[in-house]
Amino acid sequence: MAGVSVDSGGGGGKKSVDLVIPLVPMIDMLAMMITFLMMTAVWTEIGKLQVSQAPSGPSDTPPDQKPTLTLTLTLTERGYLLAAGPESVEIPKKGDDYDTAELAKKLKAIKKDNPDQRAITVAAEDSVQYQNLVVAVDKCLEAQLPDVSVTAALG
Amino acid sequence: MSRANMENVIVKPGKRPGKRLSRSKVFGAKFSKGKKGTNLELNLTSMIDIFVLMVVFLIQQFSADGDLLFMTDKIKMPEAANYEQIVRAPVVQVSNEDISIEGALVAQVDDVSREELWNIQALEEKLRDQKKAFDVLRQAGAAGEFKGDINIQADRTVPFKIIKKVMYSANQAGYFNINFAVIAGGGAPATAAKDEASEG
Repeated sequence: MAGVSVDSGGGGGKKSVDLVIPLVPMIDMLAMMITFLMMTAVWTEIGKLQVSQAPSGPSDTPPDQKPTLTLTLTLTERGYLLAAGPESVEIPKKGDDYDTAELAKKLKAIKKDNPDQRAITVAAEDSVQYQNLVVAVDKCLEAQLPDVSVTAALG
Repeated sequence: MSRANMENVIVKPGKRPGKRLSRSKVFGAKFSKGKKGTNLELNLTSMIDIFVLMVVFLIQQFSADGDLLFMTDKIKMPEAANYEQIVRAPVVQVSNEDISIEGALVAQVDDVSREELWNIQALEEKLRDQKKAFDVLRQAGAAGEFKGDINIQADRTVPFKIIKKVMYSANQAGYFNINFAVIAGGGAPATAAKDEASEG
């Protein structure tokens, strides 16, 4: 048992001022806490990417919003097809993987030219894997385009 | 011969170290005749330090968010970096084999894939039931408002054809705020940053 001795300044008849800290219950409590926390620990953090289904989903944008361009990102078997108004650009795959770095760069450039732009529609072909859709939505959010609508690609 | 001299000459048989060895700190203890102390002292201070550090670390890791989703081996969720905190809402689980809501099986992926219709009837009905139950609870005085949130927990390899039908069914049942459940990770931005750096 641990003890703390406080110097009383001498004197034979004085009361002892030794203080004993009960370490055993403290160690018990710490051991119990460690066991409980280990059992309840969450090692993987889970989050969400909020999307709406185009075109009927609700939007957080105010009604008096300035008109912005129609921005559509289509995921195909060949790669990305990014359409900003009348212009469109194709970002082909790099091998088997989508070129996410190039997509991020293009989206940031569009956002820089149109700072009020918030909405983007992400369309995907039926065969596109969910992982690739999530990455595309993630890139849109990274480029400060928070109103993401997801729809099926036509054709 | 005196008794003292006799003791020096007649010795008990057995191993006997040399003078140098018996003085050694390492090997000399073998030949010491005194009893060893049996008391063992625990280093309590360092042990409590470790315990406190472990408790602090584990409290930092503690989170109740994990309880919102059922984690299974069949579903490996995708990673994303720009995520928000997940909220309590009905969870639709989509694996490569089946579709379930709150752990209850509603459809097989193969059947859904073959179907021409966009909506999954069983899923839509279950979601409508959940919405009705929420309305009943709210009329009974339960707090909260129906916001139309739904969490989709899908495997990363599931084709969009299935996700599209799940989303459409949710939309038909009145759930417009669709949340894709993801694992927090910085993989994607790190790759992009690396590519940008290599270009620069």
